[in-house]
Amino acid sequence: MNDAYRETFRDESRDLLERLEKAALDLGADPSDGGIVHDIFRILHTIKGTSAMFDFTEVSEFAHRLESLFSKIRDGKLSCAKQAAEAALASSDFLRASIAAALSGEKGDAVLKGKKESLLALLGELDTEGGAGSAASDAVSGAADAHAAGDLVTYRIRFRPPEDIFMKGVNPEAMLRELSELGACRIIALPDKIPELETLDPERCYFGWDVILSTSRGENAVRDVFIFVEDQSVITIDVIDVHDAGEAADTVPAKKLGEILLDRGDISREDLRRALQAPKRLGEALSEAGLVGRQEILSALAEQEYLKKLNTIKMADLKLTSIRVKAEKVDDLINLVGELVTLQERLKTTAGRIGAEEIGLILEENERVVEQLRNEAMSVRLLALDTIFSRYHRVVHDLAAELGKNVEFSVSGSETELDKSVIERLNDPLVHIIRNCIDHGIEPEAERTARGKRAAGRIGLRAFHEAAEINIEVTDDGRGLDRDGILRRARERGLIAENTTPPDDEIHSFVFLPGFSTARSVTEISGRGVGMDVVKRTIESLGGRVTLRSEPGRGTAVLLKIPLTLSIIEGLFVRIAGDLFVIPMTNVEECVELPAGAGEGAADGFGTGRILTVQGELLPYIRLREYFGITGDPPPFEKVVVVRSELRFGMAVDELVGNAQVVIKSIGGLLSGAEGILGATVTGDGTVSLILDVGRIAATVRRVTAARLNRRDRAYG
Amino acid sequence: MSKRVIVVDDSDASRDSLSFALQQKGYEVIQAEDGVAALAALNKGKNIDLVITDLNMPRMNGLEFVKTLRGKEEFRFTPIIVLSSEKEEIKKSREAGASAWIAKSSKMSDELMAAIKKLIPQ
Repeated sequence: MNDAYRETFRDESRDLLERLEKAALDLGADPSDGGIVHDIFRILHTIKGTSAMFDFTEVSEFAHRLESLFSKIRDGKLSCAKQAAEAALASSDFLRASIAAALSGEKGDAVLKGKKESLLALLGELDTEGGAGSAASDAVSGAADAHAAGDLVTYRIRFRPPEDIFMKGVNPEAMLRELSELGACRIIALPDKIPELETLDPERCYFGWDVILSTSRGENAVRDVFIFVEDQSVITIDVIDVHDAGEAADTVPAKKLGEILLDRGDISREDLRRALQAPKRLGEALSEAGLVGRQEILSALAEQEYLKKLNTIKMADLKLTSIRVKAEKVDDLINLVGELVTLQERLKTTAGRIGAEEIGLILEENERVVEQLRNEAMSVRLLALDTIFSRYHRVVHDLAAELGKNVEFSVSGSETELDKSVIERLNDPLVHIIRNCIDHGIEPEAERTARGKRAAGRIGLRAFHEAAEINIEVTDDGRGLDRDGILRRARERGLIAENTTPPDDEIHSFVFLPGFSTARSVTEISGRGVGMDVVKRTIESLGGRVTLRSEPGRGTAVLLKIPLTLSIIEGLFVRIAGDLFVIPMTNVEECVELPAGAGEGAADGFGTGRILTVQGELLPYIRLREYFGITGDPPPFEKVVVVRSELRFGMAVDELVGNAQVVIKSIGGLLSGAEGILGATVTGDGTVSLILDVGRIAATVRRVTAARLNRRDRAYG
Repeated sequence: MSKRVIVVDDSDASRDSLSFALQQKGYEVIQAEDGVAALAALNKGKNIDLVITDLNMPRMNGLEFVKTLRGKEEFRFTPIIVLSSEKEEIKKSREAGASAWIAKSSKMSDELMAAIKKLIPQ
């Protein structure tokens, strides 16, 4: 344990021993006082614990011995309180000398040893049951007959936690994650114990898991994951394949489904024999006969599939295998997958229209396969984030030195993959955010120490998957955003009224506005008024979003959410005068009804400059009908899609149609660069729809709204 | 942003060194010398990601503290690690609702980190 705490330990043990002496004297005077017995027990327990922390085993073991004597007296198993008090008094002298010796690093002389022997003998006499003082630690022993670490062993693990596991403050996800860190693994959920909705208690855990794991860390490492839950859970661990570290890759013989189910004890040999006679696939025959659940079959199939893949894993273990492919081949593949996604959507639309339910089910499965195919195809173009993350250690080091800050930098998830073209464009925003952390976030060392923080500031860069997005988070434990400064600046710029105070996240969002800087002094590094707005624009051009959390004195976290791919997005289809348009889902916040008559009145230019009230908040909006110059009358009730880009605004449309995945096709020739259009897509029924560029439309809305406000100001002025 | 941990132990040496180990790993640490002090600190409405507590403490011992926490709506699912190496104590504290346990030893901070890893998805 850390030397810095030896001093504390010295003072504390001196104090404890004084209390022990006093208590021993008191107990000698009144041996029937159970309260004092308990006090002595507690004091000894503390001495035992802290001395164990410093590896002072002599002290710790002796304290344990004495403590167990008092615990027996406390529990009424022994009645020698008076003699025990004498022994405690004598022991306190020994403990004091023994601790002093341990602190000075000495072994303790012969006199001390003799003293110890005689005291132990005395304690033995008092403790008639004798030998009760087992070793100080009774920790759970490791599993026997474990596989040696070193060989690549594949295990089949079945883990069913107790239903009340959440109420014990344990999250099974943490354990599954730890397992997956041990090696290649496949996790299959077993949902068969989930009850009917009416009886389901959402605070209980009904799940179990089958895990197939290949690791060279040994069986103890696997068992260790479950150490805190093993007695309450059902945990079985079987070895299904052993691969010697020294040997060349041997292949795993393919196992039949029946063999796996038999291995697992899910079916009996007799069941298997009968099922095999049926003129059906084994899985179907077994589940139809009610011999085994659907879930067990799926899990066994997963194991079968995994074992097939295992051969590849073993190869990878020996050498990295890769093939070179021309980039254009990959692009062609991805284009074709794009076509497939479109076709899938068309099929779905058509099936929905003609009401073909049976086809619907097949389509659902097809959709899943198409999605997998899409992900696999996309993954070919992926690169690990490490390609840029590895540069930042240097960036942080240099900047910290330049600004005289003490900064520790940690990176995790750099193996997360992203499209190559996206990765390159992330570099500038990330450098900017990290700079902000060092420059504005992390306080100078003196200020940190004064606030009771660690001297070194901490900046973390973390990447992880979430649904179809990659999240990249930059966190610091610095001073947090200057909320009051931002508020002041926002008032100066007339962004909020003098006497209103919006909620914190709204205040924080002001830093994303162009030219918004509260930096007290313009440093070399940042604070030049360009910054977070550029970050936001870059991320949005990648179809992503930026969010920010901050707590005064505790730090700031900037989160970038980036879609896995640029070419396929989730879109909201809207209709205007018979034409379909697509609004990227990443921009959409909510949809509201346009109050009747609100669409009337004078339009400025493109029809901007209109204001709408949504939940008590004023919101500029435009009518896309006017923006695109579409003639004809709108329906009596229009819808407004509330979107957020550089500002929050509404877009009035005739009708909302629904959302779907769309493949973005660029529009070439004369139409390229058309304002407000991002690209086009082929919709479910084969027609072409335009995808709206919300960022560009937002710019127009801002310009016109500002112009109108100016005009009004002049009219009053 | 850092996770917040409360360390409850009447021994200064033990509490300080645990807190130090946790701060090294980037946790924000609140200290309390026993169950009563811990409950007072927790009643200030700060959310806590993890509780680490000794069992033998004056005023309110660890077992009562764990039971009290589990009885409170906001701490029903909070991971709680108790400091103990004795089977009987561990058994009792688990019945009271403790999530995990570690023994006081010189390797305590490593064991603590390993335990945290099993409780909170990283």
